[in-house]
Amino acid sequence: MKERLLAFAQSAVRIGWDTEEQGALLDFLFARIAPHDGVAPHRTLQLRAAGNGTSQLLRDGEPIAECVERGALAEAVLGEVCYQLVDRSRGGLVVHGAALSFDAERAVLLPGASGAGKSTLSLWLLARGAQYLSDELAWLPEGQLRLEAFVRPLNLKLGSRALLDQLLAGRGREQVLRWRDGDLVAPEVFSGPRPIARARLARVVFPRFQPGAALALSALTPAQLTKELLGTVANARNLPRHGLPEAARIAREVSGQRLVYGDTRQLPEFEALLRAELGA
Amino acid sequence: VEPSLKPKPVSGFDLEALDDELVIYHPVSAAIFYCNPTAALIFRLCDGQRSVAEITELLTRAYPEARARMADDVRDTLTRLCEHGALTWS
Repeated sequence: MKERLLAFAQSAVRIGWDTEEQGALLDFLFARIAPHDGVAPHRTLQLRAAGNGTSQLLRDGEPIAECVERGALAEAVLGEVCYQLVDRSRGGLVVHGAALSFDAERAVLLPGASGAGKSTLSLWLLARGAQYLSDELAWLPEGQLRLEAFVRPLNLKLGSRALLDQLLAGRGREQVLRWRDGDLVAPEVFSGPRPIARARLARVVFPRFQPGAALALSALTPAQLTKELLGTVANARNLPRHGLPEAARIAREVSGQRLVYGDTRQLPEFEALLRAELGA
Repeated sequence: VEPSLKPKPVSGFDLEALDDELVIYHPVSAAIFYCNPTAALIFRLCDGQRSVAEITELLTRAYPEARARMADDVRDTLTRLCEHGALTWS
């Protein structure tokens, strides 16, 4: 069995595989993740060929999923790896959110639960030249304003497919894993061959997609930002005082905004404002 | 809200003050509350000793320009914080 180590936010898992096809899928999902940061893996995951083109995902030897479709297997592996890495993550807030940069030095964090519209917003900004960091997890190491991203393929639901096809305009098809529930898009399609993994946190924007709503951008006070940020922290139970002092520290040093949008046609206005405020 | 009731914080909540505002967080229930400057002040006056009437009177004396809405502000804030489990009555 071949294997690789995946490390993020002072947490690590080992994942092994049997077949070349499984190895290629893991490359597609995790080639951009640091192999090791000195932390011993606390879980061993494995992809095992189960016959008839089926792959099993095992956690410490116990089967937890069985998939035929490549996209379904990718979804199961991504979900399990993210869960296991977050479960033991420490040393700072792990925020459930997307992260992008306009200049490769400063990051804009877009926290939000599934369905908030952060992936669609990320996709749109990527197509406009922003650099990709993550669409799912960002780690903010304690006492710093550095953002370290879990750089995985952009995971788009079916609702974003029409926009994806429009923005791709026929390029990079081989770097998109299309399946019945959505699309996994390699960040290299938009961000070039070397997507960045870390940048200085410069802005936090909480997106909310509401069909038909007018564009609304409102500034958050430090206390409002603390509350909203804390609501998206995935590893609170591993942190001193559940991450409250760290969320407050970040909120004192970084500006936060709430964005409501109802249509991607409103986003150029948001992008122009964001770039102007960041001087990017 | 009865004016004679005496609100007090429920134990287990963690507080973080930012400028004049407050974030109240309960690590077990993961409940998080944001208090604007007025709500933060009201929350801090809830010590289980002062009644609702006394808190209202104290704030009205300190901020006479807000007299017209002070009773409503105090009542609404206390109701909200009680409904979310951050305050109780003694």
